[in-house]
Amino acid sequence: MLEALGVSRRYGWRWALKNLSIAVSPGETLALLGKNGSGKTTLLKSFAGLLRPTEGAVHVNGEPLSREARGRIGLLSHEPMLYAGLTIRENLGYFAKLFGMESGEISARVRLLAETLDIGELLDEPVRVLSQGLRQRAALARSLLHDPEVVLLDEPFSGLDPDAAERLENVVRALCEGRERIVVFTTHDLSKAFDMAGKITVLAGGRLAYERSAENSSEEEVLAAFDESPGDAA
Amino acid sequence: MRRFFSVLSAVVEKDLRLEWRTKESLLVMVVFALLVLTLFSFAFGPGGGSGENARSLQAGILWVSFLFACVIGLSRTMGVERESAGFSAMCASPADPSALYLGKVVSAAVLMGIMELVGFAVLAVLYQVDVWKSAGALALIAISATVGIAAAGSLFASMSARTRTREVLLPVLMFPVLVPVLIAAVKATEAHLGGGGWADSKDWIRLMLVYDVIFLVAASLLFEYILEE
Repeated sequence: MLEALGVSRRYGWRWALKNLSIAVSPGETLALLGKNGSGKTTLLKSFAGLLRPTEGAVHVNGEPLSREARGRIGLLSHEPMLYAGLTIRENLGYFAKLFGMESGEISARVRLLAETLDIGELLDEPVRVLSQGLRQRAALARSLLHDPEVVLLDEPFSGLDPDAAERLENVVRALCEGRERIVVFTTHDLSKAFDMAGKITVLAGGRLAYERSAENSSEEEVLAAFDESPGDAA
Repeated sequence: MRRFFSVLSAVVEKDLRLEWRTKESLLVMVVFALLVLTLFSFAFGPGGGSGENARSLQAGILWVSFLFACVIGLSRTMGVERESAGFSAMCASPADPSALYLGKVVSAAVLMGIMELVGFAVLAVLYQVDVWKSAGALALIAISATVGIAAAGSLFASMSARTRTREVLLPVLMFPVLVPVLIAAVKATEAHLGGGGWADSKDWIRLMLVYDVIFLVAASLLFEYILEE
């Protein structure tokens, strides 16, 4: 279970998140929607431990987010978090060591992910020569390297051509359908959200404006929540 | 403990591999140190001046050039972390922040060590100093000072890397804190270049070692907060 319990986060005088509580159960896929600046990325970063909430807490399986718990979370951020001067294999090897993986385990996992994401032939290419789509796939490989229980994807399809987006979508779909994994992704694409997520959530002004299962949601309601003004968050 | 060293060595390996590929930091550091030493050798004339203050001046020029070169190098290596969102990736991992920090210190110290080797060679040639006579002592002084500079430099470079004014902020943060190391390094080096011995330098070396230990421990504990956005 991944929970945000009354999470608020302030940047200077501006509240990016205000008293936000949300819970995602194992096996659940949550789509986080909202306008730019609504707090989606801040929430994702708080879940990943990159940001310390100003108030409230993030819990993983009922425990406050500890350093060990970060080993169960995989994050695909806006930034690929890959070193341009290293090859994909070197990048993955480095991050695998940070996640405490053993050498034998690393090569097997890298092979598997390279096959899944179709980057096997590019493993020994430096990241700097890769296109954005390939970088995104390599970044996804990095975030899935340690087979995390919780996968956080920040606008995974943005900036990709339709083919690359579809390929990535299939990988994310396989993730959602696999083991009892928690998948949280942010997107501006309503159709993708409805297509892939079990639960739709809309943030507006750093607060929860909408939360319902995808089955019981309609695009009109979700769009209305985008414009909802849940009080002054600032 | 095995995991700690695995993370530490992974950071060192990654940093040195990146540096080996690009040579961006090392080249700039070495060239800068060379330029400063050469310029001052012209300013003070052949042999780098004479008189009783000559050794003191030479030691000062040497360590100031090393310090400035380190600022440039550290700024560049931390720039790579910033561009690659490396700090965020470190923060999102379960790796011990102390191991990550010490890895950064070791890789910075290795680059500085190479630059200092070149610097001492240039000192020997341009300033006509017999560095071989007290090579052991100078090596110990260099190691003590380098660890201190790398420890403080890695901490402050990580802190300033995400700020807009990082190039200005780094020396402003770093230099005041490094004053004890700089004075100790200059005094200890001067003692050995001037024909003095351990009696004149041992207290300065002790000061640097104490500084190293205090800074490494304190910064290891603080690094977790620096990694967070």
